[in-house]
Amino acid sequence: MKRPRREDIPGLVVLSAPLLWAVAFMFIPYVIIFTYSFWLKKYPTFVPAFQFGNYAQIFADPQYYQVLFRTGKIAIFVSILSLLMAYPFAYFLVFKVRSTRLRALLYMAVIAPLWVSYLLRAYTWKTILGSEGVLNSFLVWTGILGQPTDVFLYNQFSMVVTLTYIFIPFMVMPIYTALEKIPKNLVEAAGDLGVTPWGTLWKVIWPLSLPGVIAGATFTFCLTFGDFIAPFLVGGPDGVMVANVITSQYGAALNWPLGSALAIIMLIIVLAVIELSDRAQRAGRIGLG
Amino acid sequence: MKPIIEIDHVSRIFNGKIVAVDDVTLDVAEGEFITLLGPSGCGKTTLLRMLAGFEQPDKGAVRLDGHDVTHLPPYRRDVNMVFQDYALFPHLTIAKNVAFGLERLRLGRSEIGRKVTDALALVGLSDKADQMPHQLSGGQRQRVALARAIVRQPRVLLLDEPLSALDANLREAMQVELKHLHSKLGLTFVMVTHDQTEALVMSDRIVVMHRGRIAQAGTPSDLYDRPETTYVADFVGTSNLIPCEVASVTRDVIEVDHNGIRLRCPARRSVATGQKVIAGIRPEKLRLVAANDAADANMLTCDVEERLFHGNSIRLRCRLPSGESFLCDQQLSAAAAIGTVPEPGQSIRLAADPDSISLFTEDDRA
Repeated sequence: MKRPRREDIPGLVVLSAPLLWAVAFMFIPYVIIFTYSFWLKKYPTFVPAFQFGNYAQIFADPQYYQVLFRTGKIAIFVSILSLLMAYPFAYFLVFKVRSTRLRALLYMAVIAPLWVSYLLRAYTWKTILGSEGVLNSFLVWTGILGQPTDVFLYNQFSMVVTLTYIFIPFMVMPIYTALEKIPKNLVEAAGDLGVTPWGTLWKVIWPLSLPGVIAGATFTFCLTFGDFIAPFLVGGPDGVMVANVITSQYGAALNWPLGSALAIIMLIIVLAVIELSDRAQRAGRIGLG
Repeated sequence: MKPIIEIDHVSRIFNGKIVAVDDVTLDVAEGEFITLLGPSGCGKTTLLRMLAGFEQPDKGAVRLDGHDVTHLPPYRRDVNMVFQDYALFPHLTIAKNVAFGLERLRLGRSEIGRKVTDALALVGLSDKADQMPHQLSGGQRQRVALARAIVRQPRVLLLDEPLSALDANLREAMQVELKHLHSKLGLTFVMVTHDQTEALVMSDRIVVMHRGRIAQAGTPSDLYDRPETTYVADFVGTSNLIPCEVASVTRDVIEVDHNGIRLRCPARRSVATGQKVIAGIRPEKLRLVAANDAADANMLTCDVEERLFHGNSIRLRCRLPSGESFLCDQQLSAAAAIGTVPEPGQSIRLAADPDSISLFTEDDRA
């Protein structure tokens, strides 16, 4: 190895702090978890080993692979629901709101909840959807329901609603940025060439905003996939997600090796999604130059 | 013949206070190459955008081929525009860019293909059909924009500063090419530019705009030789604008006086003796006269202050005895004929061709 030259030393010193941080608090923990995932559980503790039993158990036992499927399903629903709401909103902000002040205000209205505690935001939905909640009171008051129902809370529906609310800013931000970057004269050119506003949306605006859509979908999917507080607050037995199972393996179930194996699988899924999204982004960028 | 475009008392006011276009009325004949010329902010682009349908007039009407299109959206007008920065779709190939406007016309696939091939051949880009816009040079993108607009065979082609992003050589070549394309296609062209040379070279008719209004409309030579206002005289080409007083008026000749300098000009307008007027003299219409020549009509003496070399000609920045500054352009071959080009500090005598002097009253000042 080449000895560092004297003028390189300040740069190395500056870089070493974040590098040490990443190694100590990211790389080493990952290695530990990875190692644990091959260990054997031996009640009441676990012993070092190298075997794939933990992984095999996850793929053999329905309660584990089903929770993975359910987590994936909820994450996909959250991404789709976020997209369906965020895209029209961002489109409206960029193309329809003329006043820059109003645009900034509406944009901030979406971003502002990010400064409110996550726990509080998730809890809000408990008070809205619960059997004593705002939604029930309203439906009873209007006479649509005879008495309060508990179908709104503690299921996958309440999970998707809550998580969409929590993560939708991460969908709005990249889509807004992508839409804002589209030159307005492309929209005019499409109109000039006889294409209706809907045709323009489909043939010009949507393809040019895809990078933002992909980024937003990646954010919401990955954030939802790793979430464990919303299931805890509004999920109920039907809404348990993989992060909750991992938590319980490290806690009550006292099966760290199995928890580690689940964590590693979760990490692989999230990294694969990020990699796919990155490739799609790059393929798109080549075309746009 | 019925005009293809009728702009009828059109006004456009932004935010209720900025008057961009102020009561403009203009007819464009079918097949004409008309240019809206003026500095930025004169309303020319707003007027063009109202023809395309991107802006709506606050007052007045726009008719296309006899039909009122004032409030018709862009996608329902039979006009196409070449945008200033081309506005090519970055995610589509060149061929798909050109085909973009054809897909709505309910044509067969093979017919679309043929039209795209023809349009690209017309602008000399047949080999670029499968490339992406970012792979093309500025001049090539500009041709694609042109092909994309003409492939739909619109009644009117709108060009918004089409050549402003090109470098000087390419711009000159494209001027000629556009002009050829115009006569080949027989379409009506409406172009917007702030470049007077471009307007003079390309147009059948120029509309000079100033503060949202039409200052003067006419053929290039009309505007150049017979400007109606000092604004036009100075915006289209350059003019020396000399304040004078009318000394005498006869049936054919008006004689004006500037601080003792007598200028005789043709009696093209009615003025009264003693009236204050402005004489406009083109710098290149001045002849350098040797000092020993007999005193001629329209002779003036001035001191050379600066020489500006323009290649084929030289511009002399002079000062009249009255203190007015005065420009004079000399073709270098002509200047060489009388010996040498005058040096700064030297006093020279200039003769102005009477026919080239325009007279403006105070009302013509802009």
